[in-house]
Amino acid sequence: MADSDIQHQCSNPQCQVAQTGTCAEGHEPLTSCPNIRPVPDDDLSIYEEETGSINENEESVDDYKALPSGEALLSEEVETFLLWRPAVFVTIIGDSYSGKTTMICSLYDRLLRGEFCNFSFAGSRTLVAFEKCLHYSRIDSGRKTPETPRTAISEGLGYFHLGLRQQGSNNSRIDLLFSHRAGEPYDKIRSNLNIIPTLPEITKANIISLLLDGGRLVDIYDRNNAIQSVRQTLRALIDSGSIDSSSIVQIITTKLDLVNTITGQHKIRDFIRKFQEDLIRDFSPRLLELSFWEIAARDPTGELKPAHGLGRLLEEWTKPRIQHKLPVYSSPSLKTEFDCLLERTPLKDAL
Amino acid sequence: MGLPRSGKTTFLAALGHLISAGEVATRLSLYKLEGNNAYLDSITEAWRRCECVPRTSIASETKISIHLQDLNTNNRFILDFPDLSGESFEEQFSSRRCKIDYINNYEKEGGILLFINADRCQDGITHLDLYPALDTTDVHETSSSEQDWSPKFVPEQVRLVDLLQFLLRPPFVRRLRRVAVLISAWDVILDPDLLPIDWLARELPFLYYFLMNNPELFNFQVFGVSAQGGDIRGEQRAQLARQLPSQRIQCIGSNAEPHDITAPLIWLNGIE
Repeated sequence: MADSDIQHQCSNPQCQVAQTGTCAEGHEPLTSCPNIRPVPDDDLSIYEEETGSINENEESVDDYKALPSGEALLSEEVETFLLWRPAVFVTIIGDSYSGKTTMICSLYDRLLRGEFCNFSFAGSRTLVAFEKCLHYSRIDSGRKTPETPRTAISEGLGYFHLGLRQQGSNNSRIDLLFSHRAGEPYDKIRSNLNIIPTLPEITKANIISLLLDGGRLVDIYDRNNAIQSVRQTLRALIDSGSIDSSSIVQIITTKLDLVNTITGQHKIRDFIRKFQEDLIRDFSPRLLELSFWEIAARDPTGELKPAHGLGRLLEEWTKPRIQHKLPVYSSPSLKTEFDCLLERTPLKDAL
Repeated sequence: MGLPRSGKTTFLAALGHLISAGEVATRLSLYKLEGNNAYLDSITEAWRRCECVPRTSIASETKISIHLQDLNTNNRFILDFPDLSGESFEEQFSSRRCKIDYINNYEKEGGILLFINADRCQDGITHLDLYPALDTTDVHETSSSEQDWSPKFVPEQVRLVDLLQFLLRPPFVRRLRRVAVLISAWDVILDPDLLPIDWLARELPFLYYFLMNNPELFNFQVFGVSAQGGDIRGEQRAQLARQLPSQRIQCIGSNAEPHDITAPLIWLNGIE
């Protein structure tokens, strides 16, 4: 049956594929869109039941068991995961096209090749999600130049997972969960703080990584907007109370290869330095840590090694001090005699 | 376990001959024939003629039971091989489901024979790998042959890791498993000093580190195996056909005699 003969439906309410036959996000063929599903053809089912055309020897769905999808983890799957083992949450915030997905996928790509900065692969629940994001940077994709697929707003929040072992130290396993969502909601939080509580990855974070788009820094007309968007995002997060003096924030300049190759590079360097000094002056006292990093995930010229700067970041993310934040519960007020019995009971004996 | 053309059926054919022919010394030998052995006989006959052993399709999946005797201890036991086709493993990865029978097999005693073909194409190559050979002068140019992602583009080592990872979560029982990694077509390896485990670390590092970093889940050994003994598609075929069939077989690995491909089975079953 041709693709055009099949009825489709989409979980994105803004997509009219059922009526128009065209994906709102431009996926072609339609089956490549993660939100689109074929509509079960009831007429065909009835016909097959009546005529007995279903082969009785065929294996039924009951003969099979579903296996994990390998896609990005949803919030509820993350909660299940945390019951099994602790993890470090790295929340990556950046405007659209700032390189959020490319950064994480370049790290995965390095691990495919063996040890990376003394870390090696121990497991991942999201291999399919990694592979989808890495596809267009591979020769097999048929592309002439590498690309990272744009994350759709409709995908919502997901998490990439990496289990690693660090050689040398105590060789213990470390699990990292990287938030993954489209840049548009992050674009909006500067002007509307009410959006922030709808982004659970921010309060859940052990580390907030704010991306400064190096591609915009080399554009003289856009560089001021680029740094101000990072500054205002940080201010919005602090003023909303989403992050505080217990928070670790990293400002990561992406696409360093572009910054390094531009004429008048020293001026951009000065510009970045001034921006960093201002941030330290204005926000550092309100945070536990504020640090600055530079990466080049994928330098097409080959001047910088793939995943340049990510090794040091990985070491930072996996420092033993960082642990998944446990919820802090305030003690309930004990009023009744029965409650007071709890206070009088030595817990050691009770346990 | 193994993807298509990884050497599963050829190994089984060579094993079928080796344990029954008595041509060379092996630790395990055939104790008795039982049941229907037509499939094993047909692939073994093709192997003896130095022909390509017919690959197992999903439709022709056959469970094979071989009654063996350990010549050192005289202990007898039955080896069950669910001769799964490579396509069924491919489908398991792409459709994210598996047969209930497959799950039940993993609840029994025994281990996993994981097949990888040494005569393989490099996969997962990125644009950065080819720089500066790749022409990147027009960075905005897109190719008309651009293809959307599908599971077929996932590198072999990633697929094998995910197949092993399936065993760590329900519906499978999470427990320590023995894995004998068999590098088939070992005859294509020109370096006589290269150990199979070093080949695995060099060629499939993602899989290698996954196994190394999960010792509480996978106890693994790597063997280099040449079930055919050489390239049967070219001039070497006649030369191979003149040899004693069992002597065509090569096995490199821990405690393995040169022609004894029962060594991985012995290790897998924890026989001392």
